[in-house]
Amino acid sequence: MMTNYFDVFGLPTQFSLDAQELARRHRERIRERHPDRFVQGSSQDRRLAAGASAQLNDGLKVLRDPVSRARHLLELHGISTGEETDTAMAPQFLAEQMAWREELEACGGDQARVEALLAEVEAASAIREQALAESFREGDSAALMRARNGVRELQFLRRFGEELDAARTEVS
Amino acid sequence: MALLQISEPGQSPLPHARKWVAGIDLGTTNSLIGTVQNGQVRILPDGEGALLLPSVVRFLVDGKVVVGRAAQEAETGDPFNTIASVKRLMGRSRAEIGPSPYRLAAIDEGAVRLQTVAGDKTAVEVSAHILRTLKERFEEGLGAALSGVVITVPAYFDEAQRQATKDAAQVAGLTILRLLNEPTAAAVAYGLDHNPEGLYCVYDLGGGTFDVSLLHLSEGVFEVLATGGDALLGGDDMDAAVVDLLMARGAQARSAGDTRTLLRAARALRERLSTEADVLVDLPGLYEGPFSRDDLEGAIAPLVERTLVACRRVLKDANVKIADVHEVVLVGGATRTPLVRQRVGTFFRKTPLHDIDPDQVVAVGAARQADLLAGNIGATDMLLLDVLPLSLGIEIMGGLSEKIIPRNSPIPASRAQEFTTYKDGQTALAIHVVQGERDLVSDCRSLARFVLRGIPPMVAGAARVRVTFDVDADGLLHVAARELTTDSESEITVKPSAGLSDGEIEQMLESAFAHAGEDAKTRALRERQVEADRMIEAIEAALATDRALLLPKEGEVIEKAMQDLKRVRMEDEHQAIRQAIGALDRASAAFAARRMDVGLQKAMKGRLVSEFRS
Repeated sequence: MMTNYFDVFGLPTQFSLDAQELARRHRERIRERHPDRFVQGSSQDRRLAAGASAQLNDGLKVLRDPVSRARHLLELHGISTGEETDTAMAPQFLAEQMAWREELEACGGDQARVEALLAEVEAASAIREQALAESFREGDSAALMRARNGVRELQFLRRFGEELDAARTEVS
Repeated sequence: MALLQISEPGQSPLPHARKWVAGIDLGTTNSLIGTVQNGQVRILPDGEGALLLPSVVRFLVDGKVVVGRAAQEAETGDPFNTIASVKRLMGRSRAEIGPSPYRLAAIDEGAVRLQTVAGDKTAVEVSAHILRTLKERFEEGLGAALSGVVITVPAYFDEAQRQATKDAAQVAGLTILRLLNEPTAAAVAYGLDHNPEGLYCVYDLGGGTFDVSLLHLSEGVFEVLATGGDALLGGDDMDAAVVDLLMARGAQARSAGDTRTLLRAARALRERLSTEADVLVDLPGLYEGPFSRDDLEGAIAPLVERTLVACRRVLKDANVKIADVHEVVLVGGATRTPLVRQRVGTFFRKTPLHDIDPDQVVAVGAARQADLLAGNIGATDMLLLDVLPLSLGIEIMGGLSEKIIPRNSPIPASRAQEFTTYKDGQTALAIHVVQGERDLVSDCRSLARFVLRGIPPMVAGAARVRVTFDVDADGLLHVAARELTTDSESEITVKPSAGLSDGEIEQMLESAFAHAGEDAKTRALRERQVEADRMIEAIEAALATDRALLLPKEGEVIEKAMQDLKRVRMEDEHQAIRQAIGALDRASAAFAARRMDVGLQKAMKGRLVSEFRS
């Protein structure tokens, strides 16, 4: 059975989330369950504590990031994003990606152009994140399929953003 | 379940008794031991009042071992049998360490071995001598047996280096409560004094390692956001840079002894130039002439810049801007160098803190954490949340590393991965675990190779082996495997790439005990008995309070396993005791999990009410 990380933190199973509240709940829970609290306990207690803490840490990581949070929500709905096996994307999206990659090639050592491109990618990501929130609010099966596409595209954008970031670090 | 970790000795003091515990800073250059007395940390001195134990070990022909200042004084006269900076060799193979001032045994695989008059020695054994000396210092000074220790390691230490440190403690007969990252320990020492909230950066430049950690402090929780550094960059490298400059100016080193003399002179130069602008070097026959602070700074500037590159990366990993950092704390003897203070200050745009002695601050924090973990009354309530310093990955097709747990993941962390067979009837799988950030396996550190056996023969791709990688709070990896279609436990054999095998550790233990007139088997039996007592006591207490959580049948099963353990405990067979412990463990696992859930709910409820009122 799949763990519902929202349940782990006692949060409603929904996309919108207060990051500070999540962090607070994580701290509160791990305070009780960290293996350091069980150093004098039996090895069984320590193992359980380690497992529970690992789950809290993993849950924090999954929920904190909007893309992995969306992926987790979809999985709870029984929808796999299939990013590893299914790489088919909308032609329009792919065309945009190609154009951006060509632009990155053309940037050379031009810091300002890399920055501008990065800003463009970040803006595109922000729009998709908003759309993602909207799809989850609607919640019907068509909206969830839109969310699935949204996650897949955001994952693409994220990888490209990392490449841009690396290019920026090289220059500076 | 087969584990990479070597289980720690279960010898523990009686519950509720005062626990004699200590924090140990096992440093490249110096080591210290501290303990909490009457709420204050005391760093324990040797018989002559010195707090720092030079991390130098000398082996003599007759098998005697000298540790500390006396060994240090013999360094130049007996360079191959006197081992300094052994921390740099921990968890490393010969191929990894490059040129060395010592004679190394000609083996490329496994842990590096130093050839001495007393035979080949591993870094683990050398470190164990340092730890044993500190243990004696504690026990002679306080007249009590040391029951547990927190040992600090550089945050940037990888799994093999951490495991080697743990092995050294075991060989020294110490029970490890926890391996603690040095910058985290320093933050504890500062945090408890200053009671701060917000973002802290700890810059720790020691004798052999450089660490930088960003921590968020809030209500007694010390949460590491990111850590970085260089496990092979420290004061030693500054000394080497100074020696290079002296050689370029005509200094001559004709022997290994000469080289050690020059290195020692370089260290003295660095220390003097922290307060003076010019020094006259007077090493007859080797080098005579002036040496200024400008010379020193020219020689070490590239090293200092390397530390700042690591600082920049950590800020980026934590997604934090320089302006968000409240304070920068300096740790480690090498931060006394004016150039370091100045460059760090410029980089972070604020004057770094160094009001706790940079040599002692790590031991102070470790002693605090030991006191807390021992459950001593009055210990400060705090929680340290650390991260994995370097990504863990496994080798996939094409010699590439696939990250399974990325760096800066909070620990404990867990990740399961499924594997399958690629040939009909295949009954074994090989898994290669590596650590590092690069894509190619050959650019990462090889940690271990696992072979999973006992997979039931099936057609290719039908078997599903689920391998779980668990990183514990010490940053150590445990691996377990299960075949899912038949639900059978797979047997794992581990071959550590640069570590010691269980057999080698056992051998070291035997020889260490032979020396101390103890018998390793007796000790193993005693440890098992203590573990059994501890478990029986814990479960009896749990049954007394929480029996309501169990169906009558479930309670009976636990009782039965407990009676078995009680019976076996009286027999002098440590393997049988271990098996009975395992059986009771399995019988009571669900009960323990239920109790933990209930305990957490209670804790949450209590807190919510108090929050509501305040």
